Amino acid sequence: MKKCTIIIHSSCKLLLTYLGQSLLPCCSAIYHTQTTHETLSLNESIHPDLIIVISTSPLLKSPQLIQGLRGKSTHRPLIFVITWQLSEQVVIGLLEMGIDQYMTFPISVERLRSKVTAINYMLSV
Amino acid sequence: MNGIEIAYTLYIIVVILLSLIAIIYTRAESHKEFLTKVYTLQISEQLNLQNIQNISANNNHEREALLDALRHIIIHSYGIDHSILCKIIYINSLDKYIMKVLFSTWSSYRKARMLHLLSYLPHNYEVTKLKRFRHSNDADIRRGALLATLADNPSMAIANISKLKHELSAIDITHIISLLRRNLLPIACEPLLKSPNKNLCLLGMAIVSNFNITMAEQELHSILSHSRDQRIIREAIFTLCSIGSTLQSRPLRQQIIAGGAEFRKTLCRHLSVEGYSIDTIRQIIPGRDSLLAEKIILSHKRQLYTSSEVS
Amino acid sequence: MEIIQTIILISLILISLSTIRETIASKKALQRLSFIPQEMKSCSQASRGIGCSIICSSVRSVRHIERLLSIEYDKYEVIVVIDSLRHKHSFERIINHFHLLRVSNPACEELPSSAIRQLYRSRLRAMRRIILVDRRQVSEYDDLNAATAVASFEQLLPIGKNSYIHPQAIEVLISTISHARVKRQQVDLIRSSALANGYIFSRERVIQLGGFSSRILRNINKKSVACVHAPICYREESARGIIIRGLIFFLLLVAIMPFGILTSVALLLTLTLQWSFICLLDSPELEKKCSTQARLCYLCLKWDFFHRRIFTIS
Repeated sequence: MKKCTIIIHSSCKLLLTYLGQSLLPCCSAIYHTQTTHETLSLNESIHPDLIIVISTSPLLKSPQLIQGLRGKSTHRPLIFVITWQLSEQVVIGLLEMGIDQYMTFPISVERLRSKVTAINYMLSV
Repeated sequence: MNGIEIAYTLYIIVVILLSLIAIIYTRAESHKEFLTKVYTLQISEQLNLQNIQNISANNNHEREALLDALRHIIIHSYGIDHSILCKIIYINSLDKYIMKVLFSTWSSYRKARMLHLLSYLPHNYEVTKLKRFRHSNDADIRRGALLATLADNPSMAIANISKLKHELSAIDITHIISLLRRNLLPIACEPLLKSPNKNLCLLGMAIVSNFNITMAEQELHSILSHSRDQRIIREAIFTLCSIGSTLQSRPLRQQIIAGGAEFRKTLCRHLSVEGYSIDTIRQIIPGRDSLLAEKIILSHKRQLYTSSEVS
Repeated sequence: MEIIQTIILISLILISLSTIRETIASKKALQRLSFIPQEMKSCSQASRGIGCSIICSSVRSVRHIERLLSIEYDKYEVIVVIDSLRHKHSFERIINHFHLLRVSNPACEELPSSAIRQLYRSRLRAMRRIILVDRRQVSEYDDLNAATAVASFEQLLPIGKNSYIHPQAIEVLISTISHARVKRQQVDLIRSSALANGYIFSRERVIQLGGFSSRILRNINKKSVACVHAPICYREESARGIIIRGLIFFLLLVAIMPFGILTSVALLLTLTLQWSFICLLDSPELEKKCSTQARLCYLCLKWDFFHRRIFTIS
């Protein structure tokens, strides 16, 4: 089965380490980024299948990140957002911007892995 | 050397020593952050069964970093294999370390930190030894002791909360709710809402708003008609807003009128931002106070500027 | 000569003690903020509805606004006041970047703001936290009053040209207000002098006092002021400001040299001590580049013996 490439965007190094290590068995490569510029340039160069954004602040502080990921390029990676934010308005706002899935902490790593496995299956089909 | 020169020399020596201490402390902190990252990686590998080597912490500095890593992982995830965590804690005697620091340190911050850690980590210790911390003057220590007691014996949670002499703050209640989210406390909200105990009532309302229990609307209206406590009344009104209640009841209107102009303005702003319509707000808040809401709502709805508004 | 040397030594000791005391208090306060649960830092429902409006004057850079918007808290908005006629390019850049459109703005009776020309909000729901107020530039206090008239939340945090909100400012707000509610205390102002002078005002109190002015701090009852040690905001002086202060310090050093080498060494080492203690306040969330400038600004604050006891954000 083909395995996906993931970018995890977070300013928290511990979460990057934890989630990156947890998802490593079910993906071909994981890249860690901490700034919008890094994520966008990595998206252009490696064309990831999934981008996981931890916390809503990279998306809420500027439309630049989502516009860069959903803009002119034909490549459309899936975007998952994992955050502590529960506000309905924020969730709706992000879904309108074009994210694919919104999850809240605390998360089940098993569940996240099963979603990544589903992406791998889709890529293999 | 005269007196002034001696004084200057002494001052210079003291300043150099203090600067060195500050630099060493800063470096120790950054080293601890590095160690926490390493331990997070090792614990993740163990949880994924990728690495069966034991994680070891050989000194207090490393134990603190390991505790931070464990806490970070437990806060951000659920459904973790507790046997692996217990093994890490047992091999490194972390629970003994926590108890040792708790009873020997003079720093109230470290005491509070150890108590909070006890509420997160699986352990084998006597909760009764923590009784003395539950009456501390320090709010963080009191909270830590309460959480550790609740996490240790969930079935006695309501009894323990009802015995508290101090009022729970929003931070205390949020910590208790997070224990609920980790499935540690099986508490139904209805008996809490009906309870005469203020802390239990506040906790009940927090559960209603966090888990969006719309069926509790009746009990909330009943609280508004019977309660005289301002904090309870305010919490009840805001809980009703959070579950999307229509807010059409006489006790509610009476409490709003009795609340004062400042409270009505606050409520107006809150209802506008929560998405209530101007007609609903006009029915709840009488008179000119609702004009404020009208302005905010029209602005939030991004009512486009029209040339007729030019004055 | 000896008297002057004694005075200099006593001044240096007082400055060092004050820095050590304040940075240790700030460090302890920052450590205490770690007890605030993660969900409270993002979700206002957990903090029982506490909201904060950042009111900005002389903020014209998109990058600056993005950094202000990087706070994850939901009941949070950034209100930027700008004169579109004087700063046309900045104004258009902000409009285009955040996809703002003009919305109606009925006059506010609480705080007369007739000088507002136009109000702008974003067409994107995710960008609803940014509000742009177009008004004629008169003074920073008028800008803040205009922003107050438009603000949706209870607490106001004024931000000026070189000021940025500390990543843990919302936690400071939540902690202070939560404790005040339990003790039934009214908090009209939260002030902090850690890193930079930061203030969080109660909107109702500002309106009762007739709006922002240089004397607003004196008009607020001291019993309703909460002094906190944790930082609320930090400043980044421009390079020119830092060079000017550096030159003043150099001149001070040159002026002290005739009093002996020990005096000069003591002065330099006092500066080193302050720098090493300020490193204790480094937060992992503070961007690396900014933290150096923030430290420099804090140093300048500590040496500013004649700083005005008036409210200002510039």
